[in-house]
This record gives sequence, structure tokens and C-alpha cells, in this order.
Amino acid sequence: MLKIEHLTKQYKGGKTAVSDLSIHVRPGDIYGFIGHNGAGKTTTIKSVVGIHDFEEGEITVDGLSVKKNPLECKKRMAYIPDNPDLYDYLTGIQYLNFIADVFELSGEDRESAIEKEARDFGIYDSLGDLISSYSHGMKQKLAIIGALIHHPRLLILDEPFVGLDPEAALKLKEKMKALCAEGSAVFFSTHVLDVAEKLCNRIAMISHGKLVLEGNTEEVLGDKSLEQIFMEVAANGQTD
Amino acid sequence: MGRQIRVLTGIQLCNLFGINEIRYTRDKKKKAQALGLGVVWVLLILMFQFYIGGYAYVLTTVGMAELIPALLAAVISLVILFFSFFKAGSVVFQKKAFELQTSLPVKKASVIISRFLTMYVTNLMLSVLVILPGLGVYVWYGKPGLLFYLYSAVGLFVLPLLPLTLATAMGAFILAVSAKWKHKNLVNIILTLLLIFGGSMLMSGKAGGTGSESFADLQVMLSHISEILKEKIGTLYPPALWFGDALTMGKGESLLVFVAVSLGVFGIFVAILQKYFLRICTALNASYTGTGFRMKKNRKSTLFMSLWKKELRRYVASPIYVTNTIIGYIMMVLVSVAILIVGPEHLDEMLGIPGIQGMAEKIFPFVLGAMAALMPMSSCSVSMEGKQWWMMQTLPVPGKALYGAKFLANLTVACPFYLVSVVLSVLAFRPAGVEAVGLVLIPALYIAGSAAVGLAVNRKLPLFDWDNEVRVVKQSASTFVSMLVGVLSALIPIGLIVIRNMQ
Repeated sequence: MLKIEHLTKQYKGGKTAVSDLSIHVRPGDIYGFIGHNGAGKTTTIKSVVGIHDFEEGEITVDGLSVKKNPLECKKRMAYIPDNPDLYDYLTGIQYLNFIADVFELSGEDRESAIEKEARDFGIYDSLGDLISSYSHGMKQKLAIIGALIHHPRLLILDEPFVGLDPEAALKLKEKMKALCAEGSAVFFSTHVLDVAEKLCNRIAMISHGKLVLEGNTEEVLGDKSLEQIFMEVAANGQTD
Repeated sequence: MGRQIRVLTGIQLCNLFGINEIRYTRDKKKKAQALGLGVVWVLLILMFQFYIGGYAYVLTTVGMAELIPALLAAVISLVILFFSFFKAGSVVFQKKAFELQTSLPVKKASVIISRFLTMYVTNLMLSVLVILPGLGVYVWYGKPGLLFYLYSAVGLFVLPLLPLTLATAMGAFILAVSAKWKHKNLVNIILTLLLIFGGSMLMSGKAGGTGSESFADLQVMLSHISEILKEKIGTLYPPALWFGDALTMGKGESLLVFVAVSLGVFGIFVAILQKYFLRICTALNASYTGTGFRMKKNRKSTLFMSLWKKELRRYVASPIYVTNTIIGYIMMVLVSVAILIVGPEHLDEMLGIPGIQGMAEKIFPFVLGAMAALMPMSSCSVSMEGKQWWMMQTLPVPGKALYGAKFLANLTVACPFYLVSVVLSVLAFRPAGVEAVGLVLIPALYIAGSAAVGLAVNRKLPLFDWDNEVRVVKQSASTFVSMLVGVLSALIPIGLIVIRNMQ
């Protein structure tokens, strides 16, 4: 579904944010991407979704190159950033209709999908209000709903659980599992190690732009907790 | 409180004109762009200074040197009043800074004064840069004494204070009134436009003559034009005369009145505003929320239509975006109404360019074009995406559809003004043949052309990382370059027509 091969991304000042990174996310995977602040998680994600350009390597979605076929790749994806800045001047329903128009959903399909997802996340009653009146959590829920209504083949999330209330976090985990059960894939970065440990079937850990661990969650963990492994990697990174 | 003001002002001034960002960015392209724009600014300021110096020299040669300080003070004050009026409200009541600063242990007066001082510094720089060449000419020919330099130094520091206070008070008034309404943006736009045009008409009524002076009248006027000019300045902006009298006649009491009135008005304004500041900020940041949303039938739109609707919604959601970009189109209509009322034979008086009666029909379409190209909506439509730009980068939206929708939105806004303006102009001129085609086509070409140029410039010089719309609409490189290209593209053909006819 998503293949990142030998990705290298340098910033304009010359700093290497990601170096020779390779990851393979298959259909049905819930793939956790873990690393300390500034490790290169968001840069990798932004390279996948088309926000950042990259110098070396290749990224493909469903076999299509994100550089050569960006539109086709984006039609298969949905992305939710860590701090979703949405169009404040639209109402919730106007925003969701806009997303539905972009993904060419029919009138009936969008109505049923919007109603179901908005009720599940508990913001149905607020859909007629301007997004500027929403709290941070509500905006995040709206962004998630916008991502789910078109049933993406690949859902990419950057720190999705930060700012969500426990009920919404649980709902999101259920949605991620349901999406993967349908044959889609989820790729997300997180600092919440406990969630990653329980939710993901595959995990990758990145440190200073380089992949340090990757594989099935059980194999990666062995008899340790993800927290222990994370601390070991962090300590090694500091020693380096 | 002094320390609080210093700290708060310092933090806002450190990124004046984006200097801090340019200083610390590692992006060489960004630095090169900023440098290029800086060079254009310096050249423009030099040109303007040369023009002011020349104008002052002309006044000196006709024996009106003593009018130079008052005249320049009046012009600068009116420029500050006009340009600050658009942005003062949103600078003083800035939402993000409000949330950040109200949680800090600082006084409301410190917050208000610090925001005011940010505008004051930029306007002081403008005043000094503009007035210095004029005063230089006065010094060269008038050889004034020591008092002149002392009074100039004091006067120049105080000069921007009064117009800036008046502009901020008007801006605050509009925001305070509109904050009470559900559709506060719409009320804000209407009030702003009403105040601008009301004020302009009042001033032109005070400054202008009857509009029907004959040549003989003008000859009489020339003989005692100095007194007439002085009287006009006095009617238009009396403090400019106090400033002028202090500098040219060494009247200490005039300077004292000038300083006292400026500081007094500012003090009263701050005292009143700090009473209502929190209330206005809270009301402005409040949103109306309904209960019990009911899903209506949602019709599917094409991607292009959806983008176009989004663009128009973005537009009407921002009073500063609307008032700054719609003014050229409104001027198109007003000038067409005026030409219909007074007749094409008075175009020279209307534009202040003598001897163009015979060319009115040829020039007028370009005059409409100049107004249409003054500040196209598209010149900041990409930057207005701001921090939401990630959506356009990650959604499957082709560039053609995105930019096409922005272009069409610009034409949609311009279209009603264009139609009214052209119909009125055709009625006024009753042109035939080529002139008729020109009158209809040329303004349309300028509208479409300026929208395309504005969009192209904004794609080249986008600005996404902003907190206040003022930064995009009034201070960005894109709007500045688009405005320059638009106005020059209209002024050049007008100049060529005039020269050709004179030959």
C-alpha cells in the first residue's frame, strides 16, 4: 500500500531530517511510527502526503509514485496533521461537503457517511456552526470525519490522539481497526507508546532521521515494553 | 507600566516587515526575495522623495516656501489617516495577541499603547522619509535659524500621533459596533466603506473649489494663491498649520498647541478604550453557536464549483480583505457616476489633469482600468490560505482547478461593478465605433489581466505563515508588486495618449 524506499530529506539550511529511510505498509496494517521530538516523523509523513519535496528515494502508494502521480496518490489517501488548521470561515457541514466534493461523493453517500461519523464522534449538533467556534478537540474530530467519509485506502495521521477526549480516542481506534479490516491501511506517528503497543500490528522507530527498529509489534517488543525500548534507543541516540 | 509597554512593543517590532524571519531563516530564496523587494522599496522611496523635493522647489520658486512644512504635514497626516484606518482596528484588537497577552500580568493600557506604538513607528518612518526632502529644500533656500531644527525634531515625532489616533478611534468604533451583530463581518465591511466614502466626499468638498472656476477666476486665484492654499490646509487639517507656523515663523505657542492636542487626544483615546477594550475583544472573538443541527439535502458540486464557492466564502469572511480589494471597483462606479452627472467635458477637472478634454473618450477606459487594477483580490488569494494551505497540498486538487477558481472568484466580485460602470460610461460618452468597443473592452481586459497578474505574482511570492490578515493584505510583497504592475500598466498608456495628442 505505502512503500517508502531510501528516503532522504534535507532542509534548505543543509540539515538532514531523514536519511535513507525505508518502510513498507501493507493493506490491513496499523503501522505505528515512533520517535522522539525532532526525530523526523513529521518530515517523513509530510513527504508522503505531498507537503514536502524530497531529494532522494521513492515513495509509492498502491504502486504509484507520489512524485509522478501526486493526484492519483492523493485520491487514495487521507491525511490528518497534528494540529488541524481547518477553514475557520466555513461551518462544519460546509467543510465536510467541500471534502465530499473533492472526492466526488454522491449526495446520498455523503449524507449517510457524514451523519454516521458525526454522530459517532459526538459533533453532529454542531455541524451548522462556524469552525471558528469549535474547540481544538472538535476541530480534530471534524478533520477525522473529513478523512473517513471517503473511505481512504491509506489513512495517515500525525499524533492523532493528542487533544482528543478518551471517548473520541477510543472511537478513533475502532475506526482505524474497521478501516484496516476492509483492506485499507493506517500509518500514524505517536508519542503515546501504550496505544502504539496495543493498537499496531507493525511498528517502526526512528531516531535522528534514521530507522532504528522495524517489524511486527510482537517481534520488536520481545519480552520488553515499548517504553523500555524507546528509552534504550533514546539513550543510544544521546551517546552517538 | 513603561517597562511593560517597552517589552510588548519590542516583541511586536522585532518582526516588523518580517525582518526577524529574514534575519534567521536559512532559506536563501526567501532572503533573496526580501532583498529584491527591499531594493524596489528603496527605489520607490527615492523616487517619491525626489518628487516631494521637486514639488517643494516649485513652491520655493513661486514664493510660497513658507507653505512647505504645513502642506507636507497635511498630506502626510491624511495619508496616515487613510491607510491606518483600514488596519488599525485589526491591529489593536488582534485576536491571537489578545489571547496571549490577556493571560499575562500586564495592564490593559500597556497592551493598547504597545499595539498603537507598533503602527506609530512605521508611520513615523514614513513621515520622516517623506517630509525630509521637502524640509531640506526649505532649509536650503530659507536658511532658517536654530529654532527651526529644534521645532522640526519635536514636531516630526508628534506628527503621526493625531491622524493615527483618529484612524484607530474610527477603526475601534467600527469594530465595537459590528461586534454586537451576528453578521459582524458584513456590518464591518459596510461601515468601513461608508466611512471611507463619506470622509472622502467631505474632504473633497472642503478642499476643492466649486468645480466651475473659469480661467479668469483662476488668474485671480493665482495672485493670492498662497493665502487660499493656507486657508484650504486650515479647513482640511488645522494641526498642519500649527506645525507649519511653528517651523516657519518660530511660533513656540503653535508647537505647544500642536503637541498638546496630539498628546491630549491620544491620552483621551487610550483612557476611553481601556474601559471597553476587553469587552470589544471578547465580543469580536465570540461566535454564534446554534443547537440541533438538521441535515438538509446536500447537493454534489463539481470540484471547480466547490473551490469557487469556498473562495467567495473566504472573501466575505474577512472585512480587511474585502475593503482593501473592492475599493478600486467602487471607485470605477463612482467615477462613472460622476462623469455621467458632470459630463465628459469636465474630465480634466475631475482627474486634475489640465488640457485633456479632447482625449477624454480615449483616456477614460484606461482610468477605469487603473482603478480596476489598483489591488486585485487575487493578489493575496493564495496567501490568504495561510496555515490551511496544507489542505490544498494534500487533497487531490489539481492546480488548474485551484487557481482557476481563485481567478473566477476575482472576476465574480468585479463583474457587477464593471457592468454598472460600463453602462454609465456608455451613457455619458455615447461613443461609436472603435471608441465604443474600447470603452467596453479595455476595462474588462484590465480586470481580467490584473486578476491573472495578481494570481501569478502571489503564486511566486506567497506568504502563509501569518497571524493577522493585515500582514497579507497590506504588507505583503505580492500585493505591493501587483499594485505597482497594475497602476503602471494603466498610467503608461494614459501618458502615451496625452503625449501623442500634445504632439
